[in-house]
Amino acid sequence: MTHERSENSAPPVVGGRLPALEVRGLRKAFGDVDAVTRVDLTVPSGSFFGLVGPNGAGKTTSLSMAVGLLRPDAGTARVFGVDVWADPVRAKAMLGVLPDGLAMPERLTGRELLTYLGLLHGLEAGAVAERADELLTVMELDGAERTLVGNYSAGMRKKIGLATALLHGPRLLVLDEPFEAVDPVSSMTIKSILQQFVSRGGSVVVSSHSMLLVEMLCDQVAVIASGRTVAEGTLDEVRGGASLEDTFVRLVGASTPGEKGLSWLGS
Amino acid sequence: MVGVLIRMKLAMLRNSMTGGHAAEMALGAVLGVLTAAGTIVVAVNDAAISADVLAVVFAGWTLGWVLGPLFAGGERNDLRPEHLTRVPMSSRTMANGLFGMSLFGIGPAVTLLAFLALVVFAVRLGIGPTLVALVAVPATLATLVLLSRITIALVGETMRSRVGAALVAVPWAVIVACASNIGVLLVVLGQSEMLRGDWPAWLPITLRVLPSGWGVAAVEAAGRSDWLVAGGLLVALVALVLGLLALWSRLLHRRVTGALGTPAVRPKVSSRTLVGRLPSTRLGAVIGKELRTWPRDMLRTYFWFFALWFAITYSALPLLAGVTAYLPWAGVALVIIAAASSANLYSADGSALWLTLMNPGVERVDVRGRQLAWLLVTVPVALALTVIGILVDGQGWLWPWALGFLASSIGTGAGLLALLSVMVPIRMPDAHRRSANPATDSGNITGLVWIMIGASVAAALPVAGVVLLGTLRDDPLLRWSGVPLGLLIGGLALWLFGRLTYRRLETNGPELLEKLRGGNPNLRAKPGEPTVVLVEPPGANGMRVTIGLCLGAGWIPMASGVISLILIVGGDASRTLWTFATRLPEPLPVPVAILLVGLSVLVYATGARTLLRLRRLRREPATTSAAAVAA
Repeated sequence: MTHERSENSAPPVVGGRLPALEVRGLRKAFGDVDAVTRVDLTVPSGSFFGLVGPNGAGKTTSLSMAVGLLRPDAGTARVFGVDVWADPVRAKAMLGVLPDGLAMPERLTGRELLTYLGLLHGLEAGAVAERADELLTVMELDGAERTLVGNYSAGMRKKIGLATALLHGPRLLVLDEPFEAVDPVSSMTIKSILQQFVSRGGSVVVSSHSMLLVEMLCDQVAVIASGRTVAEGTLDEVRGGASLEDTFVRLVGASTPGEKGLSWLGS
Repeated sequence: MVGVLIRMKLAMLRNSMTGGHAAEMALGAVLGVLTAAGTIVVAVNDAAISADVLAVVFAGWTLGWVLGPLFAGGERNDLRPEHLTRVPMSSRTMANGLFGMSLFGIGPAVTLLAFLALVVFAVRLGIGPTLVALVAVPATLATLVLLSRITIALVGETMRSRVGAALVAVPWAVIVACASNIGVLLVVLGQSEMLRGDWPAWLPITLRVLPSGWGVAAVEAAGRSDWLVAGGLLVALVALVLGLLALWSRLLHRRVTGALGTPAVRPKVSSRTLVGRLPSTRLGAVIGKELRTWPRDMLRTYFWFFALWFAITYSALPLLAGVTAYLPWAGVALVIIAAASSANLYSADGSALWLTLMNPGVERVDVRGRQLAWLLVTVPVALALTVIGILVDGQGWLWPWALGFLASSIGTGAGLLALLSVMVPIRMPDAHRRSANPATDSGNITGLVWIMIGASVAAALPVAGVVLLGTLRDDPLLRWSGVPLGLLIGGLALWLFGRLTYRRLETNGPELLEKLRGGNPNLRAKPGEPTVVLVEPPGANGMRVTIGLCLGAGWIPMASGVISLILIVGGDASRTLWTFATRLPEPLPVPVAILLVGLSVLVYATGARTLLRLRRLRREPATTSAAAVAA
């Protein structure tokens, strides 16, 4: 779990032990629907953390509350010890976020979007141009200079979203479904960017439906079901001897009605 | 196929029959039935004129069907063609099926009821005409439904370019401007002979040449036993239905095969324009982002041009009656409408607000940048309209009035558009998920328009007072000091409302985001469904109506009073309803005009008090949840 640290731009971690993200007792109800009843997460600094759960388990809601986009009914979220809701300026400066299904300034090109966001983050014009250039090249979006973000494909949207999350050099990345709709080549690019980020001391939280992907990338895993954390720990602790997929199915208590197949299909 | 689609449609209709929407539909149905009843009454009236009147009424219903989608959003509760793309069927079958489906609904039912007037009319002429009417009525109804669908399709195609968006705004703006200036139209109508029943000879003929009148003409022909003409018109009507169906099927094909999916906007990314030369600061970044978005966002383009066409039509319409007095106010009208339609600045960007929330501390710059960009887009045109209007009108004494009002309304508009967009967010589909129909995409901004009008009038009052005093005392310095006063009031409003806006964003940003994405992210609206999921305190609806009415209509007695006072001072005669006070016997005019101004103040005060009460009620649940977080 512990990684070699060679942080360049990020400030040193106070005490060296503060978790990158610490979420305690998050709760959120929408009207009569309890979306999240109790979610606790501890993302150790320098870890690659996978958040898995069935559809509607509350992953997106929990992550939104953890990064300060959705006000929780109760609970706290701390980024390197800084409370996201009490001191958002300091907390969010260390955070890079890729939310799922939210809009962008759709009427800008990718480069314009990154340029304006960089300036808004207070970066120098030269640095912004340099970073935007590099990000667009790495994400292979430099061929779409005259395409508005609103006209991007689903995969391109993920990539420009990831670029906006990386732009200001955060220490913790929180990515909701970063690999959804992304083609295999881009997916490899994103994986290697994230792995490099972690090897240089950064911390990553990803939510995903792909157990294989989480097993391959993550060293820490949490399982959310019906709005609460049902398991959390290192990958090996959570899955025991079995595969993550089997463990997941056992933990969320789901029967698998599809096992018998559909009687009429292919007959 | 049609049967299944109809059942799907009925199920969708049933599921959307909730709360305000059901009330809206019921209200529409009641109004529709009343109109239909009126149409039938026309038919049982005097036979000699009822054919002409029926032709007028049928033309009216047609206009309603063609323009309806522009206002109400034609596909809100309907199955969309995109929903059927995965079912293997030709676009012809799809068009037939969707067409059959569109015939079921409140609108077609009410229209059918109204069109029965033609049958009632035909029964008096005999059996033959009745049979003709029984064919003509469904055929005419089918024509209208198809025309309406084709309008939606064409608007969707046209709205994909900037010029298209500006063009689509024309009919809407002209109609709204005519409706807001109905008095002038009535004067023009009164000058002609039409109201006395002396219709110009071309009118009845034109009404029958239009497809909406073919049914009436066919029944009339049958009444004269002119079966060739009657049969020919019926054949033509059926042929028209088939032709429109074929056209719609082609449009559908283009829509579902993605022929329209290619990006229409190829942005210019030149750095030699003003946008490219903005300073590389946070404020420069926001202004640049906004200035680039204005021409590229079809909805913004549409609304801005709507404001422009409205201002021009509204002020030029009285020219029909030889009146130029409205021209100097075109700029003020542009500012008010452009501000009201921009009062969805944050809603229009939808959930993109998350980027601002993830970068705390930039709220102030974000709000100020948006305000400045709006000023850059709007003020030059508004100023030009005002100057040209005064020059054409030729009344030099209007300069301090018009410029003072312009200055105060510009600042009020720039301030309020930011504040309203944060305080009264309107959930609309995110920019990449819009249907390209401004009516479905934009939500209902009527209330915002009224608030903006009310606030602009209120802000103009001190200016009016100073200029009036200057005119009374014949003191040019005092008269002209209305302009700097307008600038001061406008500047204050811009500063203060902007400040309230970013304070609100700083404290309640996540709540705004939640509203814009429609409540629970897991239950959020599917693409293209602008559902608002807002939890409102009990009694909020009634209070909102009161607020809208008071803030919206409060200016009317005020305007009437102020205009009357101006005319009394200037010694001008006027014959409009606005200035009834001037025509009262002495010594009533001045006290009545002042009383009218007082009435406005009272109405505004009521509105403001209700607004404060509603805000207090709304804030209660918010404080509880904040306390829970702190604990």
